[in-house]
Amino acid sequence: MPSETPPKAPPLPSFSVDLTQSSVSGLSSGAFMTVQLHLAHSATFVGAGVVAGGPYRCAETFRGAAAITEDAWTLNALYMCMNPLIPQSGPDPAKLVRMARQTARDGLIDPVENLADDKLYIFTGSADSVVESSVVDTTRRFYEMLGVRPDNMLFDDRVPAGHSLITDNPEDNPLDANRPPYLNNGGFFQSQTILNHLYDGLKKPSERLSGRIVRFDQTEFFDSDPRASMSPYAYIYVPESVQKKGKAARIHIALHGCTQGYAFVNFVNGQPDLQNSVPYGNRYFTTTGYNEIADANDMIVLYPQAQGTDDGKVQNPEGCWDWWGYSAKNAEAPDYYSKNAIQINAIYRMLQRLGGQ
Amino acid sequence: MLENFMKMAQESARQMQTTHARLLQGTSPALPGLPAQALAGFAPVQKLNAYQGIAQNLMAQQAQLVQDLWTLATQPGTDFSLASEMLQLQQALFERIAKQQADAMRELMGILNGATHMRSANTMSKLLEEESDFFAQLHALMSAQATAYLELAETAQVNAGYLVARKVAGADK
Repeated sequence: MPSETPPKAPPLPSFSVDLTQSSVSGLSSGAFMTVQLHLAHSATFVGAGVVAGGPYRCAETFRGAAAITEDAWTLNALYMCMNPLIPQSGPDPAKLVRMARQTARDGLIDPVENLADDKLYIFTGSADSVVESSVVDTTRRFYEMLGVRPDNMLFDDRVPAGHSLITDNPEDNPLDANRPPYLNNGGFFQSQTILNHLYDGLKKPSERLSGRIVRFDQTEFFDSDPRASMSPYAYIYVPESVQKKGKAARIHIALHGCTQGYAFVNFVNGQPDLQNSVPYGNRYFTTTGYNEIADANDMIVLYPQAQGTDDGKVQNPEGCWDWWGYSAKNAEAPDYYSKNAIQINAIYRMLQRLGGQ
Repeated sequence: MLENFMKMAQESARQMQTTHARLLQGTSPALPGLPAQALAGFAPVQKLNAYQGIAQNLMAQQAQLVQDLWTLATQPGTDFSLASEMLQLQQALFERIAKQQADAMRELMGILNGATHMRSANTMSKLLEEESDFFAQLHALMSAQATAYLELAETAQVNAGYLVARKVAGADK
């Protein structure tokens, strides 16, 4: 949450892109958003990677949690969709499937039939104490009930990892840690496992990057509306083959989790601690291994950026993606899960811009 | 009938909140140069309103839980699965409390250890800073523990409410 108005970055450029080959992945709140984005635009995506994320509209599981709708969804998110005491008090996939089908019938998301031939990578670390493994298993069951073919789905709950995207970086946390920056060293790059599952026949990751990271102005995609809780800048990685030689590219969207955006500032005693900026704000789009495998395979990686807001109107101090309705105009009828959601709409517009549309 | 009762309770809560909001408008002082939003957080009546709103929610939740349990108890045929789930819930809760206490004790020991090995201080200001740090660490630990216990209490309430509500919905069919 920067205190000053930063200078404008250049606009997001366009490239030669096959938009029908796009995919998305994310960690934690980025994983919840991955599921939402995947369902909202299933006609566009060929697959999704969900690391420690719950099922679609999970936060609307139990309306009776509080008298006020907004409070109920927050309580659901915190106590049922992340850390239920027992699996039975977590989300009910059958109910959420019914809600997803109805949402599609209402025209708020693409038809769920598009999902049948999509590839899914779903992961939960067995040492994760932030989002319970039983909740992530619900995501697997949710997709199965929606008709995703089991042989297209890779579900992994055997790695003793804490709440994190796993990397091969010695600078990152030990594998079983559950603390920021939520990047844990497990001896392999999970991002590359995800992409290898989503796309057949990928080449090995580049040892040296040929392309570059491009900063662009993100505000035009959400009309600078503070309700979006998104940063001024976002980033893409563009391989040289795509940038200079004009090769047709595919796009992968990589969504960071809470506290992982470049602009994250910790709130101490309710105030943004601007004197002590966290040292890992740019790690997600530089060191998680996405760029290396994208570089070798003519793939653009889009890194949208959420940021913290806690001003009494938007309660999102940790800079999470919205999966419980904080960005909704009408708290009684939140639309965070649909094509109309301010964040989903913004990310989709970025995708279209990259494809020249 | 239960639905009607809940609607009445919710309507009553809404009316109370509207009344509070009107009360606030009448009592919040207008200070020149200070935005109303900045002032609102400090207005005692506003704080009271927030606490009251949350307390109302908790009471409404408890009332709903009791009603649901009553409904289940008066159904012909007893569903033992709920009792089993409640026991599992209780056990999970105890395990989390135990882990929380163990973590807190470990942190407390760390703070006390640090205090007994006071670092050297060449100036009065540095000495005062070290003393203040010690109390700040204790305060932060207490505050984190209190918040964590409240979170556990809320978790238990929401989870239990959900399990019972699901059974009631099944029993009503």
